[in-house]
Amino acid sequence: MGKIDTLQDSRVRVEIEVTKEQFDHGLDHAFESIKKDVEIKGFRKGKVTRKIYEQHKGVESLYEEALNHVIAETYYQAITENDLQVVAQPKIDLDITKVERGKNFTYTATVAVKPEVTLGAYKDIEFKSLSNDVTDEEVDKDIEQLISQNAELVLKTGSIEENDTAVFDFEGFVNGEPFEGGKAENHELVIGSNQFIPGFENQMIGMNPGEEKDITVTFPEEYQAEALAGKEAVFKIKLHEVKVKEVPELNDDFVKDLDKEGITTVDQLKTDVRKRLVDEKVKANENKKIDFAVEAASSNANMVVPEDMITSEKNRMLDNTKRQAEQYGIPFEQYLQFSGMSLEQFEARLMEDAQKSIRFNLTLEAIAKAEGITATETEIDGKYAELAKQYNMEVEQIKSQVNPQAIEQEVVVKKTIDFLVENLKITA
Amino acid sequence: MLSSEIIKRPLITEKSMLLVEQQNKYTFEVDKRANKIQIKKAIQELFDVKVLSVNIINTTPKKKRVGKHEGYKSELSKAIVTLAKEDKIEIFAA
Repeated sequence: MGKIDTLQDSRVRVEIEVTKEQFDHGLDHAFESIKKDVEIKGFRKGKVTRKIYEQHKGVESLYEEALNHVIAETYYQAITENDLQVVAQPKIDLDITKVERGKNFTYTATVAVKPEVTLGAYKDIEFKSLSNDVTDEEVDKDIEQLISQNAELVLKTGSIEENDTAVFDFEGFVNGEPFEGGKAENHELVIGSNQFIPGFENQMIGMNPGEEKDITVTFPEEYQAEALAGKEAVFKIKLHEVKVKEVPELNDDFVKDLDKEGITTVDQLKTDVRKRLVDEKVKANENKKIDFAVEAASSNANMVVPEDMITSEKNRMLDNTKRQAEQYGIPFEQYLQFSGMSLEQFEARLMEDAQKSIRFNLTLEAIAKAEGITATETEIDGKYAELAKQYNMEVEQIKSQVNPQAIEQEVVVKKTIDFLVENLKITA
Repeated sequence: MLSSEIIKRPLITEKSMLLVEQQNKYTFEVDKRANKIQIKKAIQELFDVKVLSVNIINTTPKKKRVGKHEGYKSELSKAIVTLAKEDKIEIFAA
């Protein structure tokens, strides 16, 4: 089969010949596939014979379909024969005027292939070890948070003060007329949270439970309900209860109330929190180490990633995002709005991510090859078992659903990352 | 009449193609005035084949109406021509 030219940035151009027999086969295929929709007078739909069809519509009408078929077939054949590792959709160049039944013709396919990776240094890279220490302040902060989460609202007998929670009925009037959305019962409002119109909450300060009061406020000019904006309104209020946030004290009783197993004293709580924080830190540092190792190895490696490869990876990511957004019931456009990016910006960011992830993968692959890292049977089985557990399915079921090559790859990548991390030169 | 006047056009339909394939019979639209002998001669002359037999079908014209204008579909005769085994007519070639 045809000749191969290697182009810049990891692309190749393959010249592929289509023999007349192959093209005939393509035509047959094309006719079979369009047959059922052909209508010719004297024949029921889909019952036309090949000869009659060609007399009426001409054999050229089959070319497009036939070419699609033939090109797909011969292109695939060419790739396998030449052992090309294609990473993107090919660009097909074909002179349509040269195509004719009973003649051989050639076309060229230009396609991005997996780039050659020249590895740089990836072993003994210096990495400054990170401290896993947790300070007392960090522990205290965590506990403080725990306390405020456990704060309770308790009834208060006195009058309203800032930061209290008021429970009250209200009804608002503009020019003596009630308006929509201006009425509620047993509404809970934290005074000072500025949820209501400016001035409203301030005027409630000092009220006692059971008290009734009229509050006069002016809606701000840029109020969202246009009919009300800038108008003066009177709210009739009846206050039911005043509540205050009670922050529990940190003592053994509080700890007991938390109802954590084996923890009954403040000291035990502190040790427990510290232990958790240390665990988190160790994990985070481990991830940092992995990121650093992979990042360093890939930036030391030399490769030209073809544009097509990045683009197709980007498109894959984009599709993924779209699908995910839809799963959450958000149209993709809205998702973009939330993230505050235009489509171009979003795509540009994905391009960057795509390039990075491709570089990582290629680097890891090259290292695995250079170091002879492979996945053993046991490791692959282990991975299956892990997946089975994760999805709560039988191992056999998992095996039938996932691509064994992908699993093997995953194991190899994992091992390569481990290898990189082990070979970091940790400095203090 | 001239042979080309007698034989108007081949009738190519699913059914006529079936007859060709299975029984080597060819269907034509022919002039109403022609008889079997004339048709036989005409076919033999035009296509250089040997005709074994000719059958004729006269179709009844159907009433058709377009708006308030009444009329008929044209009346026609179909001739089904049986050829000798070894003969074929190209325009029907399936």
